Amino acid sequence: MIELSHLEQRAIRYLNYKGDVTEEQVELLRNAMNDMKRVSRPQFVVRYLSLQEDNSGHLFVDAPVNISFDSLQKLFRSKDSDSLCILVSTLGPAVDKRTSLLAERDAGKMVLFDACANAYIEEVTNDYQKKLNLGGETFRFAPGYGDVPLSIQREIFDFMPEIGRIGIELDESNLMHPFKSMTGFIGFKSGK
Amino acid sequence: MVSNMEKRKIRELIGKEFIVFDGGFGSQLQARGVKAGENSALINIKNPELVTAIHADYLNAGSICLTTNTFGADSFHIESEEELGTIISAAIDNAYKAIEQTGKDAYVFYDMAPTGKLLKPLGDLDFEDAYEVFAQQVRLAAATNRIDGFIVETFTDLYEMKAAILAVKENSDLPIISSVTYSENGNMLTGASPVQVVTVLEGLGVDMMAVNCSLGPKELLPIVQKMLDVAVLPILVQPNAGLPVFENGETKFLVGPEEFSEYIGKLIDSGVAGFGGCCGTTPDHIKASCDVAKDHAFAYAPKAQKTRVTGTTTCVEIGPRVMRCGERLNPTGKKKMKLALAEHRLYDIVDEGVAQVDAGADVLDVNVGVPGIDETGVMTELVQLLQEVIDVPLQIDSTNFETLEQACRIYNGVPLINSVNGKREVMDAVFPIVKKYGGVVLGLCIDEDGIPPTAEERFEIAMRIVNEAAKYGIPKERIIIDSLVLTASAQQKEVIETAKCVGFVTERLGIGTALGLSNVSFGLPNRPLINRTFLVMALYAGLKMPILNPLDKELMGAIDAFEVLNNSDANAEDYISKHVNDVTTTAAAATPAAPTSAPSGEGALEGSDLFVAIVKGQKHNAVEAVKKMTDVAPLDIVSEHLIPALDKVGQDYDKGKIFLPQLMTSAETSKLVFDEIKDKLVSDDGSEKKGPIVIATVEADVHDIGKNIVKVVLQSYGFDVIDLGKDVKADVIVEAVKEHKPIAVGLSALMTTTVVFMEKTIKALKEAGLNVPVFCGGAVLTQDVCDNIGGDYYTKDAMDSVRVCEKFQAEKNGDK
Repeated sequence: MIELSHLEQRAIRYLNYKGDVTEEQVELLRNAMNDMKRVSRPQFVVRYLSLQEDNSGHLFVDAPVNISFDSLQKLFRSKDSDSLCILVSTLGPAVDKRTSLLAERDAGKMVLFDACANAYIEEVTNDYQKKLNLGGETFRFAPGYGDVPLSIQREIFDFMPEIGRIGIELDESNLMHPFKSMTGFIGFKSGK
Repeated sequence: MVSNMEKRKIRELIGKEFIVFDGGFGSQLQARGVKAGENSALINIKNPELVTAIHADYLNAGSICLTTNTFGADSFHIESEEELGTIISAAIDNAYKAIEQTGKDAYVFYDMAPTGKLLKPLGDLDFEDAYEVFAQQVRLAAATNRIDGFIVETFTDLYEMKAAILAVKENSDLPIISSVTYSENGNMLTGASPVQVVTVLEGLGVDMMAVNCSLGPKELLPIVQKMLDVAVLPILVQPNAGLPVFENGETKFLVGPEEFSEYIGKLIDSGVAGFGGCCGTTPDHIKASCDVAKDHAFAYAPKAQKTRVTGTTTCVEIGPRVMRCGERLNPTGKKKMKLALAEHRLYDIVDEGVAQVDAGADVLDVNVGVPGIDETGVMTELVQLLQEVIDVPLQIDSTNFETLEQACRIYNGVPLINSVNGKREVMDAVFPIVKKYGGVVLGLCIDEDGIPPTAEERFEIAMRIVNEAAKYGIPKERIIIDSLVLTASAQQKEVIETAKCVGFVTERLGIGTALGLSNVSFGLPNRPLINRTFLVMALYAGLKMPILNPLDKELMGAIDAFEVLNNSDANAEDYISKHVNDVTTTAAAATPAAPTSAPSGEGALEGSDLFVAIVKGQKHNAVEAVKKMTDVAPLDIVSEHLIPALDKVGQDYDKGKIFLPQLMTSAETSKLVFDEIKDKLVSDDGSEKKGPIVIATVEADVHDIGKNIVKVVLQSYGFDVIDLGKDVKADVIVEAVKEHKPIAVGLSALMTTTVVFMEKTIKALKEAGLNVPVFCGGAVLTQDVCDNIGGDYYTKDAMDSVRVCEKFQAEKNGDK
């Protein structure tokens, strides 16, 4: 049985692969992972906000970011959050460039590279989140899921101009460029 | 107050006594009523008294250097140059008013902040555009004739800092203090380590290095210590009042003056030559620090100069260990690279660079000298492309001075420069470039009279190079001498002179040496053996940086072995880690064995060479195999080799035995085989291609990886695929269906938010009366979702798409 790191296992999950890995596959994976890590430049920005309650019991923040959606309200209620952390991360543009280059030349390598990048952004963002030591935190909720529309990205980007500082831009469809970027809402208890 | 005439120049004080700066300015403005987020530079005009009052408080607290309130006074924030000039002038006036009011002597430093944008390749801002933003400020500030220097501060990216430093140096002769900001991980935001920061800032010739913002004094102490361990230039530290704390919806800094100053004392003991404060610090923090400084001796002591160069996130020291410089990015004698350069296929060259780094190169030589190309343009473009994916330092190699200068300018870091030599004209052209852009230059032992035959004569040229560099203020540690290798087959007796000269340079000058190895073996059989043997001779003589082919494992292995025997690789740790699994060849085993048949048993693959090559995704082997099958009918190649191989791969994928990427590589391989035979195939049996099939990623979705996978796999099964791309609107798809009359349409969407566009597309197709089956796939799709939006088939992966399309194809054929 070949021992795989947490990151490698995650990449294999992204490949939707459930079988036992062979040495050949591990070599393919590790080469792709090294290739991907060489071009990644993980960057993060974070903003904290107090969660407040209006007369009808809805949570809101004193910022132009609409958190009235059920998914978010339930998320924050689930852990009695009193604060909100907005965490934005990216692997940088070189990962996208390499992906496009591989797509032209070797689609197999591209898919492997892409899976590694997906695993890596998840992993580095988790590691960064841990270091924030938020306390009593919810899971990280990304816009575009549940009833939270992707248009909320625009609100986040307008509210947090520092996101531009780590090189992420939004396009007309509210998608982030570089692609390997994440936005997440995390509820937490600031007192803890 | 001491007049400017009597005031000692700040350059005379730096490194000799404490340089005391002021503390936080933005946080003081906010504490005195300015709203967060407001451009603080505008306050110089709106409320000049407030700005002057803060300056005055810092002067009274003990600051001897004032920072103008010009953070954010740049053309990105204030478009009109006239307005910008007015603000800059007002900011300087406000500082001078405080000097007048307090009667204190002080130096006024123009404060220059980052643009707030990221430079390419991390962001969109061009290096030269960033340069111009800074240069404009420098021109405006210097034109007032009232500033004593520039402090370029809170930079999180060394590359942007380089643009700012060049802007100051090219537009004024005033002192410059360069201040970087570190993240909690101890590196800058863009990954530069403290040693790398020191190397770049010293290379670019600033007057004083500095660290400010982001962290408190406690957190900065170990980071600054790393800088102090290697720094020749003095260091100024301006910490925040601790780490920001989130309290009641506000960001606060909680370290008070007493605790802050205690750490300033520790920083002084470590050797910092100046202090001040950043976010959250107040005049009280500065006063307390000045009081503490009285009890601590000025302990700045420059460390020894070392030979270091940097990549984007790496810093390499040449000397303690052998550095392997990859030689392969050089078109001399390399047809493939010449062609790639001529056809401007720079990504192919980048790949060659990646391969060398993977093989263990510590530095890469880059030479694009091919007749008929724009050498400067190609070199600068290639350097930027390489630095996107490779973080080892580069050695810019050109005989064209303009190319050297422009590549050094655009380079992110301080590079190796290849090269200068003993010729007067070359020294006059190259040393100013080395001085201005930093870095380390290779000095070749050749002059107007050619390469001297003896080691002594070559050493004389080396001395001349070092002495001439000193006139420019370039220390000898920023030179590596190349004694030049001659060909053993033609100039046999001079080969040993090269090795001797390496010894002379090492012993007498005490600086690094480099050699391009491969020339030595030219014209002799078994060149690698000669190269390897000469390498070891030269290493023993003191060679520090062989320029070689890192893909030559034996050659690279010889360095590993030498470092063990030379006691450079402590406990042979590196050697063991690299060579623990080496298979050594004994004399008996080396005897050629009789050819063996293909391995049998579990895992062995039985079938034709073509079958095996497709299953294993070996593109070259597959094409070679099919070329040899001249006696097999093309249709038989497809039915008896290609399809069975794809079926095997497809089954292995379905059973979870292989990765999706392996399936795709096999698919691509089979496509190459198909391309090889397709012309004959059509003429042989007149059969039509399968399909066509129109595929697209739907509107608002730019994720096309899944769609591309389906395309590759469908094509490998012989389908004609019309790929409309990503973010494709419904009407475009409708038009494509009308035009191409496909047997099916494949739609892909990755996100829940874009599934609605999939539904819209399906409706549009139906409304247009196009009775074409639609199969849908993508990360968020399920059978239920597909049913809900009116899709005909849900395909869970690429193989599923093949099965569905084969069904449509069979129906189409059945209709005929």
